[in-house]
Amino acid sequence: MARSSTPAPATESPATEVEAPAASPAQAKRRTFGVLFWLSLAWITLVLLAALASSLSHWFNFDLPGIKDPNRINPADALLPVRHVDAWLGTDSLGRDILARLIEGARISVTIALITVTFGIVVGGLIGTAVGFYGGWVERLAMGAVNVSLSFPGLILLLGVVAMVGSSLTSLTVVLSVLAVPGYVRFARASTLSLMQQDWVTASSVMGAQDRRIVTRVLLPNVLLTLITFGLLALGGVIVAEGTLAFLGFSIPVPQATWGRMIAEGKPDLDTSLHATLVPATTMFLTILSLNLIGDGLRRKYAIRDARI
Amino acid sequence: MAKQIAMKFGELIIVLLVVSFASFALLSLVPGDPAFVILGENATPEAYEELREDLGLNDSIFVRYVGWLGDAVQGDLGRSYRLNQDVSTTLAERLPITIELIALTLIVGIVVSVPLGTLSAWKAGSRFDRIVTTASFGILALPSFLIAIGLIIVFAVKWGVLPATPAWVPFTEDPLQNLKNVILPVAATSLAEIAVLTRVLRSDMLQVLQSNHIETARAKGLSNRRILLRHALPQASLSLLTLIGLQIAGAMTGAVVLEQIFAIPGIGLMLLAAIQTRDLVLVQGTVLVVATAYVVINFLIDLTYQFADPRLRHG
Repeated sequence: MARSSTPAPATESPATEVEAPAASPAQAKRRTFGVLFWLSLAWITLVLLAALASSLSHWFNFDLPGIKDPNRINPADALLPVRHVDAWLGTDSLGRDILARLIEGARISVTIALITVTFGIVVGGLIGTAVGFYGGWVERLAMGAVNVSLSFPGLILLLGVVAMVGSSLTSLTVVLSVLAVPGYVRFARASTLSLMQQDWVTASSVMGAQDRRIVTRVLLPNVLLTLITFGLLALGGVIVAEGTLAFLGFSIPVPQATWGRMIAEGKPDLDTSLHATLVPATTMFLTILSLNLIGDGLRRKYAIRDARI
Repeated sequence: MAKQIAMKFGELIIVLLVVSFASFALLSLVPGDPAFVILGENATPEAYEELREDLGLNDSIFVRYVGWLGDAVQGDLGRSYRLNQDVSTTLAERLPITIELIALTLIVGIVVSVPLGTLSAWKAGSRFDRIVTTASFGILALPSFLIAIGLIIVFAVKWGVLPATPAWVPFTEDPLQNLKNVILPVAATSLAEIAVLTRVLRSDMLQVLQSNHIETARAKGLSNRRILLRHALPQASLSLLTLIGLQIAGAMTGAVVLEQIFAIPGIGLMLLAAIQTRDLVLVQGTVLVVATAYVVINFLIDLTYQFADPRLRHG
């Protein structure tokens, strides 16, 4: 072992979720995914498919069959209600088809969320596992940097950067990705530290496994599982972050549809046409809720306790 | 103990230096010449040169940073060219409004979540517990701007009992009207906070209630009330403390959104306007002040932690 395993200092342990003790053995055994889990998975699949279809049509420049142009303005058909013959989810104040815009918005949300979280898991996971395993001054330096960056209010920094460099899909993704890394480093280090206290990890080192083998074969796969459940929750966070920015008017330039912008654009017509706000708001809510439910389900199933950080 | 506090304090200074440098460096992210961006295209060359000198753009970034930081700690954050006002004056006008929102949010959040969390842990598995747990799980999936819109739909649009975008009245002028105006924004931010705090307190409480000293307290025949309030709650509120630090931070960023939705002229609305008008010096100053407040609050919470948890006193 590269370092003796010491428990993470208690000072750094913010709240962690603790499950209620199982009342009976039967309850403890009942760790199957519930209906809600599968419903959530179905919803997320739907969103992913919408994003994929929209991306394909964007890259290869063809129209999705049966879906209208998300940016076609048609004042004559403004604010059509839900379940109108011409527009299944209605239209917004400029007469644009809400379903088409939701699908287009899914592309933005999914792209930003997936890239950001993958970047966080890969980069943050590697750094966190490595510094957790090797320890020493590199670890102190890395954790110092992590603490500094975590002590910076994210949205304010994001707004500041957007103010300076302007907003685009690329700049948003880059800034959100960079902002994501410290959280994963902290998380990966914590779960590495707690793994290293376990007997079977010690056993592999006693059996003569090389450091590299321990890191890649023993630690990383297990850390990854924890990081992914964390990442699922983070996906929702990224969607909220983009939505917030869009809501504030600082997301990708108009007329690009994003869920947050659709909600903001519907707000002036709240008294007459609730659906223009409610439809995108519900979509965003269901997506975040589903991600939380899936993350929660996985954690229960595999008994992943958030590592003491 | 003193040594630990000194170390924490040293850490604080380092973090503050980094944070201030980051705020400062924001301006250098601007593509092109900041002086040009700030003055616009119609400026005279003299005004342009003067501003370059004023911003110190002719010096190296470190020289500029040291000069800027020296001014900043003396309360001089530069001048907003759009508002034609010192940044510190602008901030001083707007800050109390935002602080009011954050303080009210925190108070409501704690007052509601502590009993909710404690009771649902005490009665774990009961119907009450299930309702609280499910509701808070659902609310966690709602960003504050969605909650705000929901509240506007119900209270302003449908029932018309509370104003959606009220004209701002300072608390000192008309406390009642002021409180009426902030009900919706405070409700929107504190709901999300209640969800988080309740969940954390419940899970901590569950853990504490299983520990030996609670068993002892029960065996001594203490009343439930005494066990909960005197023995369990103080221990379970430790992580609540950390979380409250984070929540203050969250409330700060939440304020930006809420102020925009409800048209409250606090620091958030001002920051958004500054970004839109490219008032870069004002953006920089605001980021510095907010980030510093955030860091200092977390430092104070960390210190409180040291006092509240006897185990940490002799680490």
